[in-house]
Amino acid sequence: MRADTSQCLLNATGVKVRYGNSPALDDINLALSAGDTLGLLGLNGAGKSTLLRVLAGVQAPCEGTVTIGGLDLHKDPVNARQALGYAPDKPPVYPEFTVTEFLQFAARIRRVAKKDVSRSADVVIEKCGLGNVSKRIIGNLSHGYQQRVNLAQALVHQPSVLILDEPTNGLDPAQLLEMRELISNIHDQQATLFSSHLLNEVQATCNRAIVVNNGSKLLDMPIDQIDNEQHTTYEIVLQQAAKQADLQDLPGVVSVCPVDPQHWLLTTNSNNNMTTSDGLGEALLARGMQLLEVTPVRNHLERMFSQLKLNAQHNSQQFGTAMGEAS
Amino acid sequence: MTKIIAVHELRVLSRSPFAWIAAALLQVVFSWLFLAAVEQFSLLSPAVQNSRSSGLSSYLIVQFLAPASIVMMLATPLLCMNLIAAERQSGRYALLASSPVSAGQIVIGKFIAALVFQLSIISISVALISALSLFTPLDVSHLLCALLGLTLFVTAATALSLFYSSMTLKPALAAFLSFTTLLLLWLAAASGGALAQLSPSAHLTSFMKGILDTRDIVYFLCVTGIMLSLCICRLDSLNSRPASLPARGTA
Repeated sequence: MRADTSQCLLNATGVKVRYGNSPALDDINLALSAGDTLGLLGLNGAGKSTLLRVLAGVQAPCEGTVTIGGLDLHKDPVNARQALGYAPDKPPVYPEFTVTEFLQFAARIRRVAKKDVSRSADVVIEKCGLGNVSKRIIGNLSHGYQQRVNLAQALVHQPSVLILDEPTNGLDPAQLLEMRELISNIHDQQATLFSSHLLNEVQATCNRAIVVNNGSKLLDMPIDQIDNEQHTTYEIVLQQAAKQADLQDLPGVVSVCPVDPQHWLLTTNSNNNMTTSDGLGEALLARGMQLLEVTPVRNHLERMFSQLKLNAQHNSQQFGTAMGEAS
Repeated sequence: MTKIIAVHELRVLSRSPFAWIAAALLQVVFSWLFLAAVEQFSLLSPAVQNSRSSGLSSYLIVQFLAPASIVMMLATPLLCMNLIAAERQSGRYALLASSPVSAGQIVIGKFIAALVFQLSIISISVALISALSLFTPLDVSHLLCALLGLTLFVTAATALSLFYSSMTLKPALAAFLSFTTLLLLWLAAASGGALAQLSPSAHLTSFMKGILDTRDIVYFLCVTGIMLSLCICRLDSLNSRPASLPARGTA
C-alpha cells in the first residue's frame, strides 16, 4: 500500500535499512498530515527507533525517500529539517547547562530569530511544565524532567512535524500521565509521530496506529476503526498461504493485517451484509481459498500484539533449545 | 550558524573540568619550559650570550617554542577527542543531526572553538615572552615567525584530531589514533626524500629558524583543509545518501 503523498507533511516511501545482510526496515511507506497523531507500536527490536531516526534525518536509509513539507530529507537536509522536531529516546541534553540555556541553544540552531529566542524558550518551558526547574542544571534533574526537556527542545521552534521516540520510557505512572497530556495538547496543525511499546498509551493518545515487526509494517489503521460498532475484525485461518492483495479487495474489507501467511486479521465494515463470518467464508471460497477458522476479535491491536508476543516467545524458546543442543 | 555552534562549544569546554585541568597542566608545562630556558640562558657567560646571532630569542625558540609544539602534539588529540565522538556516543549528536545545520557548519564551528581554546592557552605563553621584552631586547620578527609555525601546526593537528573524532564513537580511541598519526608523521622527517615532505616537523623547522616559506604555510593549510573536508564528508555520510551513489547493500 503506497502512501498518499498529497497534502502530507511527512511522507516516507519504500524506506529500507539493512545492517550487513540483515534487514532492519523493509519497504516502509508512511504519510502524515496536519493534525495526525500516529502511534508507532512494536516490540523491542522491531525497528521503531531505526524508522524514527530515518524519518528524523539522523540516519540515511539504504533505499527509499523521506520528504518533510515536500523537501527531500536526505538530499536537501538543511531546509527539510527546519520543519522537524525530533526527541530521541535518549535525551540529547548537555548536563552542564541550565534548562533555559539549553533550550535557548536548541532554538538558535533551529533557526529561531535571535530576538525571539528567549520568548520561544519561555513558551516551551511553560508548555512542558519546566517553570520551577528552568534555572537548574540539567544533569541534576530527574529522568522525568529530562524527558520533558527532551520534548521541549523538539517543540521550541514550533515544528510542523514532531517525532518522539518512546517519550514515556522510564517515567513513573504520574509522570506518564503528565507526558501523555502534554503530547495530547500539542498543536492541531502539527503532525506527530511517536513510538511506544504500550498499547493503551497509543490508543489513548493517537488517532492512527502503525504496528511494525522485524522491520516490516504489519498494520496501519485509524484508532477509531478499532473496537467500535461500525467495524468488526475477524481473525481468519486459511488452509493455504495467501497474499495481502488477495484479501484486500474482498467486499466490505477495510484493512488487512498479516499474522503469518495463513493467519490474517480482517477489519470489515459492519454495515455490509457480505462481511459476516459466513459471507467471508463464501467470498474466500470463491477465490479458491478454504477457510479453516474464523473468530470475531474484540480489539484488533490487542490481538495483534498478543500474537507478536507469542511469536517472540516461541522464537526465544527455539533459540534456547538450539543453544542447549549446541552445548 | 557556525558562530552559534562555535560559541556553544566554547561554553561546553568552559564548563568542563577536563578542559580546565588540561589547560592548567599545559600552562604548568609551558611555564616550566619557559623558566628553564631563561634560567639556562642566564647561566651562560656574557660573551657566549652576545655571540649568539639573536641571543635570547633564539634560545627561547629552541628551548621553549619547539618543545611546546611537541607538547601540543599530545595535548591537541586529548582536547579534541570529545568534540564529535563523545557527542555521538552520548546521543547528543542527534540534536545537531536533526537541526537545520549542515555538516560543514558543525565541523567548522567545532574546529574554531577547539582552536580558540588552544590558542588562548598558547597566548598566555606569548604573554610570558612579551614580559621579557620589558627587560631585554628581543628579535620580535623571529619569535613571531616561530609562533606562526606553532599556530599552524596546532591548526593542522586540531583538524586531524577532529577528523578522527568523527570516525569513532570512542573518544579515547580517537585521541590515540590522532596522536599515533601525528607522531608517525613527525618521525617521517628523519626518513628523508618525499616522505619527509609530509612531516610537519620538517615544515615547522623553517618557522623555528625564522624562515617564512610559503610552501610551509601552504602545507599546513592543505593538511587542515583536507582533514576538515574529510570530516565533513564523514558527517554527511552518517545521515545523507548522495543521489549519485547506488544504495548501500544493493550493489
